[in-house]
Amino acid sequence: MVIFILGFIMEMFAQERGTKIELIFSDTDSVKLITAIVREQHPEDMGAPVAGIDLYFYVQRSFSLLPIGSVFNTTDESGKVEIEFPSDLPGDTVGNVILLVKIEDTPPYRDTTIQKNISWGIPLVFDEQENKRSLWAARANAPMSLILLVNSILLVVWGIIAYILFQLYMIYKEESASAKKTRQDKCSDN
Amino acid sequence: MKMQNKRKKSRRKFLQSSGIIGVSTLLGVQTFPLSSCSKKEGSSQTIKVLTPEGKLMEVEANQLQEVHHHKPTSSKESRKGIPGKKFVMVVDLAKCKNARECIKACEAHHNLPPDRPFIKVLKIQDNPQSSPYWMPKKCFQCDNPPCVKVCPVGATFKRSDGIVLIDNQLCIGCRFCMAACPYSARVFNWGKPQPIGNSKHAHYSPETSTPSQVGTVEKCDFCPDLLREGKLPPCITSCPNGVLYFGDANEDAVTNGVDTVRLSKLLKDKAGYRYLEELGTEPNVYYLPPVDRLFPFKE
Amino acid sequence: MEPILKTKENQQVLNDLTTPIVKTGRNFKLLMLVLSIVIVFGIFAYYRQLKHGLIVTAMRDYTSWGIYISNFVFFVAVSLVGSLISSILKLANAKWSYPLTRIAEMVAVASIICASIIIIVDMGRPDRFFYVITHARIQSPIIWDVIVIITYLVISILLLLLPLLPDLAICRDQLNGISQWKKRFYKAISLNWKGSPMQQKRLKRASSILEIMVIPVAFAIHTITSWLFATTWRPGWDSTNLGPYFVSGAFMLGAAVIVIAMYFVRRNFHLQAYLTHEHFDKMGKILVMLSLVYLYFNINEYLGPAFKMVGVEGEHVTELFSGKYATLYWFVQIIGLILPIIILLFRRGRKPLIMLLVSFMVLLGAWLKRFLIVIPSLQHPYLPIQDVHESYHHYYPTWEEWAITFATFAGVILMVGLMMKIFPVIPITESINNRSSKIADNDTSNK
Repeated sequence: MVIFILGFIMEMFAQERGTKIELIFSDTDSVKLITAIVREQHPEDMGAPVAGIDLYFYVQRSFSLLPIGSVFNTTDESGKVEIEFPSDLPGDTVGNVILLVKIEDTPPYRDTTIQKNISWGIPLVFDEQENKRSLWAARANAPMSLILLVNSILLVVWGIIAYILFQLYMIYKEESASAKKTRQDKCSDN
Repeated sequence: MKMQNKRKKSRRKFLQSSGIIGVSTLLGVQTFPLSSCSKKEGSSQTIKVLTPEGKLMEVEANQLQEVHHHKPTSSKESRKGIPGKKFVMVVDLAKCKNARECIKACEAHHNLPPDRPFIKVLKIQDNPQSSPYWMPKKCFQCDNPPCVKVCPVGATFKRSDGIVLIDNQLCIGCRFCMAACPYSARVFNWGKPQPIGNSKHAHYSPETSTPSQVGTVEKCDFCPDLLREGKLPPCITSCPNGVLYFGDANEDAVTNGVDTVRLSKLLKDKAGYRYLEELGTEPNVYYLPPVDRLFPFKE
Repeated sequence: MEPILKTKENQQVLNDLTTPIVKTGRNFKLLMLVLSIVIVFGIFAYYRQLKHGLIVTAMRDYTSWGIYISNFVFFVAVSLVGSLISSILKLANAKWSYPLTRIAEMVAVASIICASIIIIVDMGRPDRFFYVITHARIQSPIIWDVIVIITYLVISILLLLLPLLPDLAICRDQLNGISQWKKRFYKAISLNWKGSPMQQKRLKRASSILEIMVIPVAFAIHTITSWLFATTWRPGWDSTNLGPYFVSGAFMLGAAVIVIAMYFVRRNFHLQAYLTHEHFDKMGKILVMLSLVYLYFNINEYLGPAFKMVGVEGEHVTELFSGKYATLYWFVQIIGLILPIIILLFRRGRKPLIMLLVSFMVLLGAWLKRFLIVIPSLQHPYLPIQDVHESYHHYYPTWEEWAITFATFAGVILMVGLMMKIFPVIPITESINNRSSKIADNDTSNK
């Protein structure tokens, strides 16, 4: 059993009353629980527990905050509320997620947000698709079989064309050589 | 109770958007918090703006534009994709009433002429007995993209974050991709593109798809320039009915700008499907069937 | 080589076959002028397209390929004629076909050049043409097409040139009264041909390799062109039958083109002694055989979809059979395919003039057929065409598109015509070798 205890002390404002949210994280048999205890802020002692207040639990995502827990997470008489953290929520590459706990729109209590990095997410494994060989990949990642096939066909066909061009060249060359030779022969005869 | 909940949500949304703006100001991006004002269509509405010299000025709201101080992402960089992301969209057909706000927002963002929208809202009737419904359709950003397969020069490409983009500086205009796309998602610049709307559209990047070029192909690009800044595409935020959800499948969360839900749960609970799954194109756009509709179908 | 020319009869053959090179009639000059005007008009249309973009065409986002592409497919099909006549018939030991080989090769070279031009015309960004080489993605069927078109062009030119060598040497040595540049041209291109045993041996070896190799390449060029369509999900294109369907259609079209070319060459160059009724009769038999093969693939292509009537595929077939394109479709099938088969089955139907008429029917049908392959398919996407400008719903080619299309036809005829003014249109050497038997045949058939 792992227990973290966190305390956050908030400044007091004129009319609105400040609160202190304490978070307790427990992970037993892969059931991940977050317990929040809300107390009124008091300069010296613990402060009285705040009962019947709604807390909002979120996980930070790219474009917005994803709510977790129940629809309403209301504190009991000891200022306590417990939610289960989803066991299948993806985190970053090492499994970290940013947890946000908020008090919103609950006069006379001031809006409060606390933020905490926790490592309860599923570590993100992403494959770099751009490096895979496929028909839709960039030209550098064409399927090997296709490259081999096309190139071998090209090699054979253009090899034959080259051979034919070589024959044409020899037709040209031989006769010009023999013509030169006969001319030379004639010259030497004279 | 419900009403109260809604109010809370909108307040939450406001807080979030101001949070994003706060972050971007920190990063040195000068933005005007106008995203909420621009939705109202009053032309006479004015707004106070602080100039860099410290003068307070009053300007017409619809004349204002965000200023981008970023350099647009280079063509080479655009090919890579945002690391670790897998963008996905969910369209809730039960909520669409053909308000066409997504089309307008998209046109403004990409400087498109009205005759070639990236988004179309189609009237679909699956069979003679069932009631027709509106189907917003854009590029499905397929994982087995037929368009990318056939491109002879690699002008259109698939990124690691799932987005299919077009580099119009490379496109030869053969239109093979348009023939290959079974969803008719692509549009072509048959003539000269329309003049650049504002400075935002002036610098080309495959990520912004503006400015357009004659003789090249274009399509919905999921606005990766905005995604890089952690912002949602305008079609999502402009929808008055929360039809369109957007998010990162790797994070298993999508949002329509108000609600954020888990992607896997949404698709499971509401029987999400992909259009023409049997073609094997593996789209990254999901549809939720048009059941329990919010609005009766109206032409 | 030279001794055989010494007899009087052979001298006559030489005269007959080189007259088109030495003398040019007024009609021919007039034809060339008309063709040039058509081409200039096409160039003007293309200039407008370059200036304003493809907006001058009737193509829009749904009908994104138009008559440029169907015309491209048409000319690729025509180019297959080279391999049919100079290779398949030769390998089948059809000795009668030798006077047709050169015409066939000239048509093949000209039409493959025009096909390449028209595919560039179709590009939205012709200025980036070389990207298909510098940025080529081997996965794209377009790149396969580019490779095979270049290969086939080179092979076609070689196939034209190789059997020409002895004739070019004759032109170089025997022709008088031709301009200086022509003489120099013959000297350069005849590659020192003297007809020595060594040269004969090498030529024979190269020719026989080439004649065999051209067959797979010819099949490849049109099969890959069919894959430009078959690799998509469009109704009417999404078919495993498309390759053989295209190839068989191309051979049929090629045979018709040869008959047309043969008819005009025979009449205008007064070569009745060399291109005889027998040639028309035999080409007629070949044409009817190829048409029957094409009919077979046609039935295969439409029966399945018409029987099943699956979704858009069914809509597409209905549109062809009884919808907007029904008139065109049945015109193509009846005038361009069924009727030619019936006419050509009779001996009387294989007379030159009737053959010419039938070949024109086949030609027109073949061109329209390619229109029907390309355009209606694009107009039947999976998702309905809605929410777009009215002009996106149909496709009526603009004058610019027609002008460019006619210019490509003119281009092929012009190129073939000019080649006939340089190269002997009927192989001289082979004619001399076959002379005695040919003349005998001709005498009997004229009676």
